[in-house]
Amino acid sequence: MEFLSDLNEFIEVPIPDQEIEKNDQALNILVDNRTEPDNTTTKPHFNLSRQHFKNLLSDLDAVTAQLDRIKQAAESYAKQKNSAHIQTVKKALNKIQTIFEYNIYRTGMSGSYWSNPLYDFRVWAGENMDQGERMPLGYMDTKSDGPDKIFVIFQQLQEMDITKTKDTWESVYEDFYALITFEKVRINSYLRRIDSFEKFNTILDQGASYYALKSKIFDIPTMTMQETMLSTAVRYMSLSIELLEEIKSAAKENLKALPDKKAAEALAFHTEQLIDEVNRLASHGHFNGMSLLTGRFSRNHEQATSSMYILLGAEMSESTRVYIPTLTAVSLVVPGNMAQPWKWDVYEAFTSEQKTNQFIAALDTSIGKIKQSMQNLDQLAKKLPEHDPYSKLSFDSMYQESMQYFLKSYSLTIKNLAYTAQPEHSINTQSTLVLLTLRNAHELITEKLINMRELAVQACNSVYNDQEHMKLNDEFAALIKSIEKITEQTVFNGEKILHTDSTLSSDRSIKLDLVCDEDGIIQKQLLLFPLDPKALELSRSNYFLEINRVDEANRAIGILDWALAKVNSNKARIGSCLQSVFIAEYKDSLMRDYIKLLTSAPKKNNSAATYLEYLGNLVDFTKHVYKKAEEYAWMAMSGVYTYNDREQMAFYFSNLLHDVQTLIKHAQTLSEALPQDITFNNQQKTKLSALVKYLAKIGAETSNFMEEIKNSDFLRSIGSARNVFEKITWIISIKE
Amino acid sequence: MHSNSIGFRAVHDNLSSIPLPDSIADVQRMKGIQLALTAIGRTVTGIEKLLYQSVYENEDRLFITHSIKREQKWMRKILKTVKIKNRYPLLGDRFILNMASSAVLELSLEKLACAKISLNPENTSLFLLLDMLREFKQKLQYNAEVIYISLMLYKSDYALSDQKYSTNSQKQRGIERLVFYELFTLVRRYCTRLTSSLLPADLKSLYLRLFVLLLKAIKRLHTAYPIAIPSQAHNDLLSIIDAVLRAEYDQIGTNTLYALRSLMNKILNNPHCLIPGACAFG
Repeated sequence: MEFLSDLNEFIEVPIPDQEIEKNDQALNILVDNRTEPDNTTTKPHFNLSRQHFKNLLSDLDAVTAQLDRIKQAAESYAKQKNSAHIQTVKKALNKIQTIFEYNIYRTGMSGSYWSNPLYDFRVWAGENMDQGERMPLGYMDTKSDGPDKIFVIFQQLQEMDITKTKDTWESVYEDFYALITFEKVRINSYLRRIDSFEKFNTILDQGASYYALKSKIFDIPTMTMQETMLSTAVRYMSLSIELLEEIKSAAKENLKALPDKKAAEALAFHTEQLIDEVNRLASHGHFNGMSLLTGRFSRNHEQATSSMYILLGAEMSESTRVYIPTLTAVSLVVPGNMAQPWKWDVYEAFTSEQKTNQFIAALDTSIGKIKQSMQNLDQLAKKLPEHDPYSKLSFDSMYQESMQYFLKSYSLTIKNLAYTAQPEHSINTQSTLVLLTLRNAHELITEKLINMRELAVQACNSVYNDQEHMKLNDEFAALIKSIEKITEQTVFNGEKILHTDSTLSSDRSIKLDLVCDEDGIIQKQLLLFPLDPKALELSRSNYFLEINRVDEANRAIGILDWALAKVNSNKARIGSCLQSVFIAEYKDSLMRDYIKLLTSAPKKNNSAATYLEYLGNLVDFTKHVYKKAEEYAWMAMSGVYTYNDREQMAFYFSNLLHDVQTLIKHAQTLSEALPQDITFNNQQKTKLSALVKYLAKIGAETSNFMEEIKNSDFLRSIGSARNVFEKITWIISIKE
Repeated sequence: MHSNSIGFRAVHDNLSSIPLPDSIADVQRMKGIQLALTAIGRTVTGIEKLLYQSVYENEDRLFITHSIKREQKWMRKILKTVKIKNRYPLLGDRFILNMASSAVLELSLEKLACAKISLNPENTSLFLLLDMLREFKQKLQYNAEVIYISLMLYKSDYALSDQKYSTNSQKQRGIERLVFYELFTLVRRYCTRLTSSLLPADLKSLYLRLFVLLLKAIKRLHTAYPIAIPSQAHNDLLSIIDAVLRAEYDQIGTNTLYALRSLMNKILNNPHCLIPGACAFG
């Protein structure tokens, strides 16, 4: 024996401890906490938009100054009849024309009429595509390409003659002055809107980092998810209250200014913008892809409150319904006595004192209600336990031990010649290598796609000029090329495993057969979307996706979202396969321990006990895997997850059930083919028969259960998740 | 495959069994070969990766060229260490099974170590070079694998024939169990690898030959040191091994491999089966 072990040592290349530690760390990072790229940020673009509006505002200020000069000159001319004043007016008019042509409308030449630039200013507001916002300025009829109203009146103004009486030109002058003033009011309110966008976005970002990369979602404790959801909702509500308070102060101002119709109209416009903002907040305020504030969770349309299930503990009874009020303008701003609330109009409401007072009263009630539900949510958040009742760590730490063996062979294989696993290493080394290679490639590609999306979102803005757009586009193309590069280089055994060109790819998917354990009984067929730019529709033979124009960029966002969905789906498959590999590895390690015991202490008396211990360990492990499946069912009962999340949970879940079934079958065959030369005493015999009975029962239940959920939408809705959870808890509670 | 692999196959066909080392000194030497092969393989892989990088425009060419030169320097160093009297006895050893091709391999490796590699992406020879490197790697790996199996068989043979302990003693039984457990595990792994879709076709035929040689050796050991496995499994094992040995290489079907694997599972999942002595043999 001594020589044998010497020889063994001699033949196996010893690995320094440091190396193992390093690999351990690497694996930890791969398995647990890979840092993800930050979510898209919109700050530079907000500043640009703000600058744009500030420039417009200063230009319009200059126009107003010139208009004041014109009025002064006209009044002086009326008294002094000095021809110099006529020149002053002409100069001022020319100046106004220049400002409009070169700074505001940028037509660049005199004679052509002014349209569009003041109008059609786009601002991107948030995470999703439908949040591209327009901030219209100017008075152009949207359906025609005609001139702006400002242009029409300016032409009339140019014909003004101060030598004639005041009546001939005053009305045109006043009209033009009013137009410009109103435009300034609009711009100011848009500037206000950008501020509120920014606030909204910070709230969104805090919640959004959780779903930016969906496949990581299961690594976040459910309790944290729920807490974040609640706090995000509270933040949205406080922003909503802020807006409502501002609306209220505008209404109070209106009470003071009421006889003045123009002032009232300007205030109404400002209020209208704020009300729009309230609506936007309601429709865009979301968490994990679900809109929180539109009453989406309500059971029927008449019920204005929305509710979702929140988990407070491990038991099914420990869940509660949380109500989040609907924060749309119709439910908040419109006075309660309106028969047809959708017909309510702020311009009309601001015309009389009585209506304004009603409006203020409605606002006060709404604010009170929101404050009340904010309190409720805060209280609920305090009730949430700090940790999940299912400890993810205990299951994973179980792997960690068994992975030590794997790590040895892993580092050896990496160091050795090619990627393909050599016969001295366990068979799942190869599967794990493929999966880890794939996983790394996917992380890289996700990073690139998110960068690309960030660029496309930036390019959605009219703030950028052509050269800036071109620069964005160059960067975009470089990223597409880098994705091509990653897929070209993700090679295993000379086979590109992420590319459409691969011989493994057929029918738009790549098929990989993986054997996870030594027995070859845990086998997985991994179906993946190929991720080369062609397959992701980012490029065709001679064409790359472009973001040179706003509409192109909009299209690109859609394509990128689709690509990200594909990558995420792949990631879920790879993740669940890795889970199976871990399970297989643990099963093999049990066998290895058993062999070690047999060879190191081959006492015949002990062999029955050893055998029973091995079988018992295997059964215990089966329960552990079941516990993990239970955790997925438990998670699916929480309302914070979307349908897509549940779909992925269902995928993990059914994979785990398959593995459990395989494990049970394996244990059953072991117990059936009893070695003849082991003699059991009476006590051992009872234990063995108990184990066999238990295996038979749990095996039958498992296959029944799998048959039941085969064609159902299990875990896809909270109701079905509850059923599955109940059933699985029952199966776990079966005693030996 | 390229032309230089034909010699590889021709020599291989003439070989009837895996050669075993004669002495501990031989074992040492083979160990040396294994290390050298691994080291060279690593430099080849390094060059391959760098060449892959160089295909793309935005990479730093100067850095890549420098890195390739460094890898080549390492390779020359290793080749120099194993070079004796203008030959590479460690690489062209009889254990490598392919004398003819190893001469080609030596030459090619020497050439590769000294070559000036141009990094022009339009250069088609770059892709030829990449192809060649992959083939090198496969060959090196194959050779390392042959050595591994050879050492493994030697180890088993030694442990079984040592007779340090009396024939029927517990310790001797333990050794025998362990030896056959390892050998059968190896067979099972080969079955899985050979049925895997991740193994390219050209490599598959190569490994199939190695597998057949391994089975032959195991049969030999098994006849010399009969161990008791349940008689049915024992008969199945012998008949499957015979079927594999009788068949032409190309005719060894996936089903046979699956059957062998399930048989191995039957034996290995119940290690109590590997108990020497009592059971009757044919």
